[in-house]
Amino acid sequence: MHGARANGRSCLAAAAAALVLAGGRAEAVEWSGRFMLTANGNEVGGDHTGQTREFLELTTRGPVFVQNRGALSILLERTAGLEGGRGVLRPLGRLDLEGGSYRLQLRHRPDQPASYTNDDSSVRETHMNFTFSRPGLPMLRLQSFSGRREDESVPGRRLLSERRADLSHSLEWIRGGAGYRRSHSEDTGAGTSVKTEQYRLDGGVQPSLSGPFRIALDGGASRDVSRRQDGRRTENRLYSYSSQAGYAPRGNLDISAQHALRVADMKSSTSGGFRRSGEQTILGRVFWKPVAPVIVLAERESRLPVGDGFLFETARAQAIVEGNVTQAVHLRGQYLRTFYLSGGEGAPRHWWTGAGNARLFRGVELRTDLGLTRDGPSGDQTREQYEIRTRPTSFVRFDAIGRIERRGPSIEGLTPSLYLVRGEAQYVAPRGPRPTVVWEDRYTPRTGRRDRFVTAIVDLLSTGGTTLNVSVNRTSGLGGGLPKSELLSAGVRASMRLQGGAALSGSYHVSHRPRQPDQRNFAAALEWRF
Amino acid sequence: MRPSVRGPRPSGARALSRAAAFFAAALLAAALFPTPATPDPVPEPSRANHHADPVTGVRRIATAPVGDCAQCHVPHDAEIGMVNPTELFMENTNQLCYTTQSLGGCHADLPLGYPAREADRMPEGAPYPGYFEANAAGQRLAGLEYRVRWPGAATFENAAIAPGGRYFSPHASDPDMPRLDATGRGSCHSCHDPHGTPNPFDQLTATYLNGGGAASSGPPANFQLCFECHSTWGPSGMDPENRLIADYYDPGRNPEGTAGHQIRRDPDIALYWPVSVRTGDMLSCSDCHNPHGSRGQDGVTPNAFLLSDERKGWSGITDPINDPEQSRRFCLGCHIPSDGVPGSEVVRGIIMNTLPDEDAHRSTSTESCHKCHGGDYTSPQSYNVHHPSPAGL
Repeated sequence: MHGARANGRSCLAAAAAALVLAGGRAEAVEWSGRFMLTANGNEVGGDHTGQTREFLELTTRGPVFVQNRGALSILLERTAGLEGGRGVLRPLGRLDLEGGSYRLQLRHRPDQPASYTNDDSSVRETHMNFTFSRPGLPMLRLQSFSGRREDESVPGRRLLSERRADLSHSLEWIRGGAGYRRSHSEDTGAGTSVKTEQYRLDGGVQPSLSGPFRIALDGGASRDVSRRQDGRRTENRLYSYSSQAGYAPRGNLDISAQHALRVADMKSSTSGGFRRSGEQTILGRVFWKPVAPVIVLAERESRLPVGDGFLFETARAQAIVEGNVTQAVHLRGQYLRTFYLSGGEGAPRHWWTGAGNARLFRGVELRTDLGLTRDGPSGDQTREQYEIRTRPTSFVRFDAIGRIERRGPSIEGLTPSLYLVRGEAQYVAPRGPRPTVVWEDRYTPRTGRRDRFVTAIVDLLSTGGTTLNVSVNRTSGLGGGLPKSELLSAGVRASMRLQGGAALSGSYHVSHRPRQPDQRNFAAALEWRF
Repeated sequence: MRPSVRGPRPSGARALSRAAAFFAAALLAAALFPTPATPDPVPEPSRANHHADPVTGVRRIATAPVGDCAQCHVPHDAEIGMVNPTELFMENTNQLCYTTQSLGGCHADLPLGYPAREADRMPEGAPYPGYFEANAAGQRLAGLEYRVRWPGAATFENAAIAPGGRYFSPHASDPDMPRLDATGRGSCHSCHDPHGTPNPFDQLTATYLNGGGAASSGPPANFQLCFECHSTWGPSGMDPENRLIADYYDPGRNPEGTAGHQIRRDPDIALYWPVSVRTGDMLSCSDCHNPHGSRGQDGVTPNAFLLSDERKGWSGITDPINDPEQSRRFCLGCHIPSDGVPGSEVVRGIIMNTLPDEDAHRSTSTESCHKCHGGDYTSPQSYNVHHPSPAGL
C-alpha cells in the first residue's frame, strides 16, 4: 500500500514536471477534471460482497496542445472492498497528440497493485502508438508495449507472473501492408520465456479492365518464429492467395471463377521437419437472371487438400424468386439442391424456403418464413415462423413472433417439436411514463417442457436530465424431466443531473427463487466534472 | 497464501525517474512533430456523411435546411445566450447525440427495427455484402428507425455491472476508453465522426467492413476499428484477454486454419455459402458483438461481453465459459444441434446445417461447448471461440 501511494505521488509529480516543461508558462495551462465515486454490492443470504471506487482525472490542454488536438491527463483511481479496510491507488499517465498527419498516444501505468484483494498482485504498463499518414503515402504505424503483471489472487488459476514486451512497425496501404513484430513474454511463475518474431506481407490488386471482364488478386505471406528459453523453437509459415475473375457480357448474366490456395508449414523442435497443411479451392459460378424476379445460380466447387485431408467436390444449383408483388408485399422463395460428387455423405441435398413480407397497412408489417429440408440424415424437417411488427401510432410499437418447428421422416409424418410465442409492446411517448411489456412462452412437445417469461418496465421519468424506471419480471419452467424453476425479480433505477456539472445515479434489484436465499444488488455513482 | 515470486518493487525515486523519462520522451516526440498552429481544419468532403444529407440528414430545427451545419452548430448571433465550444447547440457530450429536443429525433430511442435481422445485411451484389445495414436491394435505408444496430441511449449508458464484475456497456462506462466525453463517459467519437469519414458505413473513424481475411497473413484489415484497441496495444486498463483478440485473428501466428473463427466451407457446418464468402474468411466481430451494449434478445436481460441481441437465445449471457447452459445457448444461436432442423439458421447468408451427430451436439445435451472447442484466453495461441480448437472441429 505504501508503495502504491509512493508510486501515485511520483506519477503525479512527474506529470506535473512534464506539464511545466511542456507549457513553459504555468499560467497558460488549462485544466479540467472529473471526479467519480461508485459503489456496487451484492447480498445473498446475508453474505455481502462489493466494492467502492474513487476516480479522479485531471487533464490539461496547454500551449503545445493546439485546440482540442492534444491533451495530457493524469488519472488516479482507488478501489476498495465495500466492507472498508485498505484500498489501492492506481495512477495512470496519458498523453495524446494529434496533428494534421500524425497521431501519438502514450500511456504509462507505474508499478501498482492490480487488485485490492491481494497485496501480491501488481501491474505495470507502458504503451506507445504512433501513426503517420499523408495522402499518397502508405501509413506508418509504430506500436510498442511493455508490461508486467503478477497475480495469484484468482482462485483455481495458476500463478500469473508475466512480463511482456511487444514492438511492431508496419506500413499499410489501401489494399495491403507489411509489418514486423517482435514480442518477448516471460512467465516467471512457470519459469518460461518466449521470444517471437513475425514478418508479414499482404497485398492485393483490382485492376480496371475494359469491357465485361474483371479480375482481382489478393495474397499474403507471413513467418512467425518463437524461441523458448529451454531451447524449443517453433516456426510457422503461411502463404495464402486468392484470385477471382469474372465475365459479364450482359446485365443479367455473370460468369465467374475463384481460385484460392492456402498453405501452412508448421515446425517445432519435436516435430523434426515442417508439417504442411492447407487446401486449394477452385470455384466456378454462373449467375443468371432470365426474367425480372428470378435468379438462377449454379456453381461447382472442388477442394483439394494440401497435406492430409480428403477431396471434396460438389455442385450446387439454386433458384431464387424474389420481388415486390405490390409496393406493400414482398415475396421470396429459394430452392437449393446440392450434388455431392465426393465427400459430404449424409448431408441434406434439398433445401426450400419461402418468406413473405407484407405491409398490411401503414405501420404494420407481417413477415412469414417457411422452410423445409429433405434427404437429411433424420428425414424431412420443416420450420415455420410468423412475425408481426407494428407501430400503429408514433407512440406505440408492438412486435409478435410465432415460431413452430416440425420434424419427421416424411412430409406427412412431421410432428411439432417446438412452439414459441413472443411479444413485445411499448408505449414510447416523448413525455411521461413509457411502459414496456415483454413476454415469451416456449413449449417443446418432444420433452413436454414449458418455459414462460414475462417482464414489465415502466420509465416513469425520462426528461430534464432525470430518469427513473422500475421493472418486474418472472421466469418459470416446468416439465421435460427437469425440476420446476421460477425466478421473480424487481428493480428500480434512477439518475439525476445536478447543478454544477454533477450527476447522480443508482439502482437496486431483488431476485427471489423458491427455496433459495434472496439476492439483492445495488449500484450507485456520483460524477462531478470541473 | 503462495509465496510471491515478484522481486522488490522499485523505489519511489526510481519510479519517479522512469516516469519523468517517459514523459520527457513524450514531449520530445511532441517537439519533433509540432502541431500546426492553425485553427481546426475544415472537414474535408467525405464519402459517408449521412448527417449532411440534404434530404435525410439531421433535422433538429426548422430554421435551417435539413443536413445543414446549422442544425448542430449555432452561429454567435443566435438566440441562445451561451455559445459552446465549436458553437454547438449544447455541450459536446454523448447527450448531444441523444437530444430529444429535435424535430426529426436524434439517437436517444431504440429504433423500431432493433435488433437487426439477417435481412438487415447488405445483400450479394451490393458493395460489402454481409455488413449490417438496413437496406432495400442494397440501398441503405435512411432514417433513425433503420439504425438497427443501435439499442438506444438507455442501453449504451447502462452503468450496471454484470456478475463477474464487468460492465454491461464497457464502451460507455470504462474510463480507459480512448475518448471520453466531458462527463467521463466513453464518447461516441471513439468510433464515430459526426462529420463523416472515408468509411462507407456508420461514419466510423477507422476501417470496419464486412467479413474477409481469406488471403490475409495478419489480423484482417477489415476489422481495424476493433483491433485499434483489442490488440496488445490496447488501453492500459483493458483486461489482458481483451488485448489478445487481434492475435486470435492472426493466421500468421495461429496458422492451423481456425484463427478468427474462420469459415472453412465445411458441409458438416453449413449447406450453402454466399458468393462473397471465401474459404478462410473470418467471422466479423459484429456477427457476435454489438459495441453499443446489450438489452438481451428478450429485451430485458442484457448480455455481458457486448454480445449482440440478434440471435435467438442471446439473453442474460454473462458467463458462457463457466456456465454450460449459457455456453450452449450462445453457440446454438447460430449452429444447429444435430437433432435440429437443417437450414433453420442463416448467418451472413450462410445456410447452416445441423452439426455432426455426436452426443454433445444434441439439443438434449448439457455439456459446455467450450469444453471441447476451447475457452482459454491466457496466451496469444490459446483456443477459444475467436480461435476454436482444431481438435474440436
